[in-house]
Amino acid sequence: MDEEPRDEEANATWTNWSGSVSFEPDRILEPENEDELRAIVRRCAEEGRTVRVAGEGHSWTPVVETDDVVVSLGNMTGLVSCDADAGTATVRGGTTLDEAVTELHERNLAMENLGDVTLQKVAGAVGTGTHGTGPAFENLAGSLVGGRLVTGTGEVREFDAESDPDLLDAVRVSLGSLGILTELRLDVRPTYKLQRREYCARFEDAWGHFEELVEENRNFDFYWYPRSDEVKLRLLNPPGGGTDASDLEYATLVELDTNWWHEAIPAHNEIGRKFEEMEYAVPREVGEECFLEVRDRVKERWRSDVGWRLLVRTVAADETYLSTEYDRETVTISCIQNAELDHEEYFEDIEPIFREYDGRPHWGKNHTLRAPELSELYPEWDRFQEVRRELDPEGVFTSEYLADLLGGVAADRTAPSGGVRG
Amino acid sequence: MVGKHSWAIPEGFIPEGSTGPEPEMTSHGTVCVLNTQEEDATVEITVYFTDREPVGPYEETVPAERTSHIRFNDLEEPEPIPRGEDFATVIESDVPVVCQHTRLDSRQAENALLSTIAHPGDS
Repeated sequence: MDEEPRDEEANATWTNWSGSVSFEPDRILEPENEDELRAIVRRCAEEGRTVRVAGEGHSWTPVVETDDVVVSLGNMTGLVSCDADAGTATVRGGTTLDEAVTELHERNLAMENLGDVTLQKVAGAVGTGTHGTGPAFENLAGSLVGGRLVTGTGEVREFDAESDPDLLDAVRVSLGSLGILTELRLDVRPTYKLQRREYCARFEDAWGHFEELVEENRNFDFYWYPRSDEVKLRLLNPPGGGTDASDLEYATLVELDTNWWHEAIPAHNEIGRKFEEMEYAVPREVGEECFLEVRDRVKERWRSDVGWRLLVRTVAADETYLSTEYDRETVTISCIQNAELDHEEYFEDIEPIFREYDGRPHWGKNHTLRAPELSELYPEWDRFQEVRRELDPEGVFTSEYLADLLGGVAADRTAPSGGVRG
Repeated sequence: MVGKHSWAIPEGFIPEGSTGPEPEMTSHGTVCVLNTQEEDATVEITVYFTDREPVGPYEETVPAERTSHIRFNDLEEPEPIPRGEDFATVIESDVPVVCQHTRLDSRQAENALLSTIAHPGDS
């Protein structure tokens, strides 16, 4: 590059949270502001380089990997503004969820829902379709109602639901392939308290109650422990709400806590245990059947080596083109294995079951699908590609992995590896 | 004061098969830790194998004046103990405790329960 941006870190190694993705990009750049970011993208476009934006690195897929330029938004953080009357707040893309929820809470504002982890940056969590649980709640991308995007030509594109709903539906889950989100305007609400109840139960005793627990509680999910065949049920509700305790006689209460929303919803921002994860979202109506088949397979083949729990959640349908919940309510099922142990064989054995149930893989978690299979799973795949061609005509944001994953834009530009014109 | 700071259980094996309802009748190994002290015990378990380096420590807390029956089957971190493989364990606690070992082998319907006191260390 002719003019090197500040904070250049050449020949640095980039490693994801679990350590499973590690590579040496040509440069890791940390722009101070949107103008610097635009300059980086413009120069990379001119020189035929590939740019990938890194979040907090909590994805297990090589979505950031490139041998060219990685941009980190670590200097572009914090709350930009909030409008309690409109129910919106704008944060910079490099803000972590943990920072965002703290800042919101200090202003008596809150998000409707969270996932299980808050160490991700907001842009990354939104861009990969990170989600929590509850049939009334969309994934975190559903809370994005507008923002600012640096496109593949280095322009800034402002967008919102009113001015460009199609663009919003494309941007919400886009893996940084349409541009780099510098600001995100999120739906927020007045802050609130939740009561968290956790129960342990035998699987056989609890299983028949799955649907009622989903329906009766604001947020319900459960862990299944493969080695003991027991479950932990997690119920979150406004204090005093949710399934009556007398209807949970088959389970033992092990935790009861009433707290502010961001303390009550599972929100691990420090995870001591590093693990690998595969998660698929299947249509809600077949979720129970799918889980039972997965459970049978784990009990039959994987109990010797797999001790980690499986996590089952529900997510509302949405209209985001590449959302795993597009046009359907889902049950999501996660398989987890210690990061130090082999996970490939376990995941490869379970993945076909998810596919039998028309499952869509979480974009940030382990899976083996690529564009030919994925394009069949997403009805609006072609519309997404149209937006992609418009916003990133030269494929600046298309790495080798993204070319395999999403196909489409300028795939030949990145073959066999990113930045061949550089 | 009842107990020792360190214990060893040379026997260890989690059968792969089970008979009967889970989790009660799942074949398993357990270390039963009795803490009669007035403070919580932080217990570290190191697992030894026949053909590879030890794994651990697995860390558990046994509250003051309580007993905790820790199923080896359920340990997750740093890694699950494989079923169908011989192993042994050393238990070290920051306060004196008493350890006993049990193994339920329910591979056949006529279930068998093995129980033995662990070997105490010097301290």
